[in-house]
Amino acid sequence: MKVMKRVAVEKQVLAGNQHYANKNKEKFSNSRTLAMNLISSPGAGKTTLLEKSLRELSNHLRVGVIEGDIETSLDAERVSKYVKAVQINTHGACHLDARMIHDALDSFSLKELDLLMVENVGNLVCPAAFDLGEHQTVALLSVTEGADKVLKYPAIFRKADAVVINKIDLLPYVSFDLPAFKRDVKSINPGVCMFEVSAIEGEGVNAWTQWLLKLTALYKEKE
Amino acid sequence: MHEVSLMDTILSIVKEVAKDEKMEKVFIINIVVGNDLLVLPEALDFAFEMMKEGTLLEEATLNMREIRGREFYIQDIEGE
Repeated sequence: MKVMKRVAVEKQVLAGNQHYANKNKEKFSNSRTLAMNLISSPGAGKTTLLEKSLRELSNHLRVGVIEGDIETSLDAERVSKYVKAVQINTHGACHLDARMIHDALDSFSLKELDLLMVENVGNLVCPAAFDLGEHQTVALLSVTEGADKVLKYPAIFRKADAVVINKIDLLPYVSFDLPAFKRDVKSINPGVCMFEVSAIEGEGVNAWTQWLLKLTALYKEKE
Repeated sequence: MHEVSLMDTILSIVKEVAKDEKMEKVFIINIVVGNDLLVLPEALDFAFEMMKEGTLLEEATLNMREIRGREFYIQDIEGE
């Protein structure tokens, strides 16, 4: 006679990713490296912001970059003018996961890095679900995408520690409601830091790099 | 977003537990899905229906409970 029974499973579906995220976190902690995960849709200006920031940051900090893209090493080539950059090609996958970062970390000597910046695959949706073990998650949005994206894609804006609004030099030419954007971000994430920048013109980039310098210094003190 | 690969993970966990519990058939799978993970219940269900064929989960029903936040786990299973 077969008996019907109920068994508690209590297992996380994303446990595999979390396992590697925790390993990454431990590595960062051992080497006192602050890790940042930069997320936006394609073309919002992640790489341009990195290029502009690294010009300044590399004078003060030892920085490394991991570039995530579906194909090509174009971004790593751009960024490697300033610091060491490693390219991950996901070959179709729409996000980076913690395992990919774990493997890419072998290419760095983490003890020689103060700050690791990870540029995720251009996508406002999927990367929000995958913890990479980073300390800071940064969401970037450009004014050409429209202010409504905050409420349409709330997961990433809720998770973010900082939100960067890019291409503000184009504000006169697009109907981007900046006050509404800020209000919506604050409504779903009241404690978030916000930066208004034009990565291409350089406006506002200094406040952003100063914030990164301060965070990295604080992290060093704390660890 | 990646419902097929997520369902693949769910099915392998369930099969493993069923094996440990010496279950020959699983009838109910209860999972909890956080709304911040942007997992589509309909797509997850579609993947489930497609992937359960020919396995010990063939007759199983997938129950999803949506909660706020980022949790995503298999709560329990029923079978014999």
